[in-house]
Amino acid sequence: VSAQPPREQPLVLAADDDEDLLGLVSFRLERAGYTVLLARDGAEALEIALRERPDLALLDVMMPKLDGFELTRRLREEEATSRMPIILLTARSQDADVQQGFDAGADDYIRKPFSPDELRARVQAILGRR
Amino acid sequence: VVVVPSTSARDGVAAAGAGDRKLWKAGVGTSLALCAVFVLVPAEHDLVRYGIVYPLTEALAVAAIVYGVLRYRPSAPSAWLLIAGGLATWLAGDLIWAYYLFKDESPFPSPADFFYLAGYLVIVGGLLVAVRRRAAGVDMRSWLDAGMFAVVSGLFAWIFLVEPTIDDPSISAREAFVSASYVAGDLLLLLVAVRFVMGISWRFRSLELLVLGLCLTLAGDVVFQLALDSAGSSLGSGDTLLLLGIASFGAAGLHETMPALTEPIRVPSKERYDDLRLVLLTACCLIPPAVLLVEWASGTGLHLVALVVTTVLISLLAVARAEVAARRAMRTAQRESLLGSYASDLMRADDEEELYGMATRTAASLIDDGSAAVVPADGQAAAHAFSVPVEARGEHVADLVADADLLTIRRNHYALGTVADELSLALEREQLRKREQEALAALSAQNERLLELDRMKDQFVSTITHELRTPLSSMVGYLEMLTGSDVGELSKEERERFLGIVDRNCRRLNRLVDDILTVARIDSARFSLERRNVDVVRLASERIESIRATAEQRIVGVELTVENPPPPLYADPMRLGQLLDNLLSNAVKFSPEGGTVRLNVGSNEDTVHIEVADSGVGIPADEQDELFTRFFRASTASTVQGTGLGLSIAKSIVEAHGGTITVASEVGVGTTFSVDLPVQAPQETAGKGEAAR
Repeated sequence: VSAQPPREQPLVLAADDDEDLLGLVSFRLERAGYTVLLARDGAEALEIALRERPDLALLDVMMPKLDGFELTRRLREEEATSRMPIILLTARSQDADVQQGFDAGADDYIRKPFSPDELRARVQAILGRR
Repeated sequence: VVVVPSTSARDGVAAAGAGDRKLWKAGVGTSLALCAVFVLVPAEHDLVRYGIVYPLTEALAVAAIVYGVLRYRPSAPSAWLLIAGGLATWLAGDLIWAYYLFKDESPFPSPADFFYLAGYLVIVGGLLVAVRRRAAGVDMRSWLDAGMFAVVSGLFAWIFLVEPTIDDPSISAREAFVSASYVAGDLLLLLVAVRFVMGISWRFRSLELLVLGLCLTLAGDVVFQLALDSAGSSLGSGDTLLLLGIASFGAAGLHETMPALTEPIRVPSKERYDDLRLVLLTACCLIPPAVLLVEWASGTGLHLVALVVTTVLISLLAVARAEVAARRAMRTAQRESLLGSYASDLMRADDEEELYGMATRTAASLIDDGSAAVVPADGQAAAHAFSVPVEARGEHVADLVADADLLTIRRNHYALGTVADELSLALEREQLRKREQEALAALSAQNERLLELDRMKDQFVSTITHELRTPLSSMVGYLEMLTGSDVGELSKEERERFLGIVDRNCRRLNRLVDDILTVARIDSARFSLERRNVDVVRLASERIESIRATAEQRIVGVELTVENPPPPLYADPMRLGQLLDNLLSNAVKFSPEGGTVRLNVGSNEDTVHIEVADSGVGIPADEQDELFTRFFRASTASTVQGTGLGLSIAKSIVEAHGGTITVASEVGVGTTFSVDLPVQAPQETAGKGEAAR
């Protein structure tokens, strides 16, 4: 991360296969001063993450091609993204699913439906800690 | 006191074809009348008795037998014809004797004696034919037993009939030889008769009469010989017995059951009278020493030579009989062990074919000088010398058949029955085992299926949760931003866009809830149609318009073509709309950017045809059968969200309308769903709210 030029605004990757939710997330975070990169499936998200090295990734669990759990594991295996904060965003809400998310290496877990303000607060909390 | 003709028909060979009972009664009556005449006519009218009545009775018997043969057609007529021949020979002798009487002469010996003696041989020949034909199922012991009877009888004949004749100085050697020849003839007849009796069945009147005739003939001869020896007065009674015997032969030959004489015994009965035979044989063995004892005690000279010869002969016969019995016991033991290993082999067999093979092999080993096999039950079993049905669970599945001589069949009758019975049991066991296996396999397949269903259901719950929460998340999120968020000021355009998004997701959620409710209805059989006349083209264009916004968002074109506008369809417009929505949203979902979804509506006389075609990912051929199964999702659909409900619902709707839905698809090219709906709905479903299934 240190090798990258300093960014004016934090870069957030949002990945979801639902266009409306993607729009919601990006609108709210952009309003809060983040730059948001959009991905519509797991594979695209992986590619963008490795290329753009965002400051945080907001990943849906049920996505085509590569689901959020698997994507998290892959990102953790890569040198460039191994320390990148990851928040999982999902409709699956059973305890076993939450555990699976943390096992895969996620930093936080947001359940759908969610409040856009709470989403912004959590993103801010994680990025502010660093 | 001789013959009481039975009036009730006894089951017999000729029971099938009506016998001539009247003729038989007339014949018997005539014969008895002749016998009565013979007895009643005073002795001084010998010419009438021996020249007319006697030959007449014999001629009548011969005619009766010949008539019987022609009428009842026994399978081997030679037996009866030989008996008739014997009687005819006696007739010839009697005619010669009548000639001598006419000339008032009574030479002894005379040519008549030659005919009398020859008659015995001819009758014996007839009985031998009968024994061969009918009682072949009786083994060697019967001949040995008959031999013992004949030897003992011979002892008495020697002591009481032959020796006195030889010792009598007034009788020349020639006369003595002829007298002894009569005795020899009687002994031969006795031997064959005893053997014959052992093989017959007493169920036939004709055979009873034949045996009666033989007894009377032998008795008559004995009385005759004794009377001759005492040079005496009671000549008549011996001749009366002989005459009654001849009448019996005639009555036997004329009776409707006469073919039984040479009818082979198909299923031989168990050897009866075994115990009685043993008692009689023991008595036979004891007779020579008993005679010796009596003669020694009474002090009338001993017949030592005769006794020694008799004892030696009986001993030889007894040894031979023991040998036969031992061989038989050995064979029985072999059979037992064969059956024993057969029974244990059956336990180890793996399938029915093996069981049949074992039964055939065992039966063939039993019938070593013939053939035996288990054959399918084809109704041809009766063509074999022996057959016994094989049944499994009350069903006649096969026959165990054997072809061999009757003695072999008789010996193995019970063993073959056991083979068949054991096979029946083993087949039932095998069938039960197979059913059990099938039941287990079915159970395990069902288990697999249930596990698979359970897995699909888990998947479904997870999917449905996701599908419900996704539009809900958009609605909740955008509404929060529109109402109570710290997001800041929103422009008018933004507010309108957000409201549009909320509205779209509301509809999406609504459609999803509809699908889930529909599935629940289908499951609880509360799925009903509310039919009215529907303009299919109008309905199609409405649905096209409602999907257009979603399609354009995905950069997918939609177009409607109408080929041959269908007449109003009597159907449920809501369900038909749901069907179109499902097919169209599927097509849009799976189309690539820039693709086109085509909805085609057409009709012919009795069918409305709806086709939805996309240029999407396609469905592999081996998955197309399962496509309409609930929760099933094609492997090519993994990149697209969905519940796996839409097509199963579509199929239910189409079937509720009495139509069919089919799919044609090629991976990478596209998919076309074709729906055919009958224009004229079935009459009984035209009512209100009928059940879908």
